Amino acid sequence: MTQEQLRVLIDYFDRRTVRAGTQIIQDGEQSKTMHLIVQGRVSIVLNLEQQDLIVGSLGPGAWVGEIAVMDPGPACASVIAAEECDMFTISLDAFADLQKSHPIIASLLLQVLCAELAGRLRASNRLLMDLIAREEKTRPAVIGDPEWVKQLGAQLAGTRGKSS
Amino acid sequence: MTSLMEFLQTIPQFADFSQSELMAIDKAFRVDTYADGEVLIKDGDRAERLFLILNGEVEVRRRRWDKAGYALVEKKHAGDIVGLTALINNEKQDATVVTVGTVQIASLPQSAFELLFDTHAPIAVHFQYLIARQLARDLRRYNDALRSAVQSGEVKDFASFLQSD
Repeated sequence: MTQEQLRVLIDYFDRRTVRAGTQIIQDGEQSKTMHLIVQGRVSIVLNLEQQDLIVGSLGPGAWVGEIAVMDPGPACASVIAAEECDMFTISLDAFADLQKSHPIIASLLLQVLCAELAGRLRASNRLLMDLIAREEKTRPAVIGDPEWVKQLGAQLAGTRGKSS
Repeated sequence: MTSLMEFLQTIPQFADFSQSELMAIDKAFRVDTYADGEVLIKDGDRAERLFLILNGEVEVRRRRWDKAGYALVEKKHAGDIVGLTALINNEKQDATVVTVGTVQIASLPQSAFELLFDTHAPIAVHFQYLIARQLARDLRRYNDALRSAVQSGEVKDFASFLQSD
């Protein structure tokens, strides 16, 4: 991407700084924005019926909320700022406008998002096959296994191997 | 039999495109009819093209953990795109996809997509968006399955879950 393309792309994003504890995405709610974390860390939380389960955290370079933008629907998990965070945010409408006005630049962004989504999908496939295998081998399943939950957190949050 | 042009005209994302732009897509794709039980994608093969199902159904089968054959994990239908993850990240296929009954499928080699992008960037970007949406939709379903497993503490009838929507 050229400097000029980058300048145009950045104009479609809002830069946002949030304080620790800010709810960026609410599990189960519709979201029309995706965020690129520039600085700081966020926690990924599943709001289950009986408890809130923290399944990981993400830092600079990670995207959150892109599934809901590409396929509008409820968020897969809550995202909460674990510390002060600096983020680039783009709305669904701004993304649609980018596609119309600057298709080449939109394509470059889509390439990044597709690669990320494809990698995560493949990792989710493996995780599910692993879950099935473990359940077949040793009942009960591995749901309580902290390492497995950590992997799950990475999937729900939007990264492979970036959670901690 | 559905032509690709007819099919694209039923997709809202392509509603604004002119006949000439739709014809450009039509030329980039190749439409084939497959008989029941044909292997569209083979686990371990190199990815060279993506497949858009025009009508009919295919089964996605993944290798079992104990290597004792393959397990059916989901079915894909008209409008679904298959073969994406390996193609996008230049990896080997991680599933086998088999036709169920007679299936009509449009396929797009990577080189044809690049040519389409060079000559008709806006429509190529729209198609790229459809790909991203398919990936996001698939990922959402898998994540929902994982979430359900965490919630309930067990995995039951996994293939049905993935096919439930």
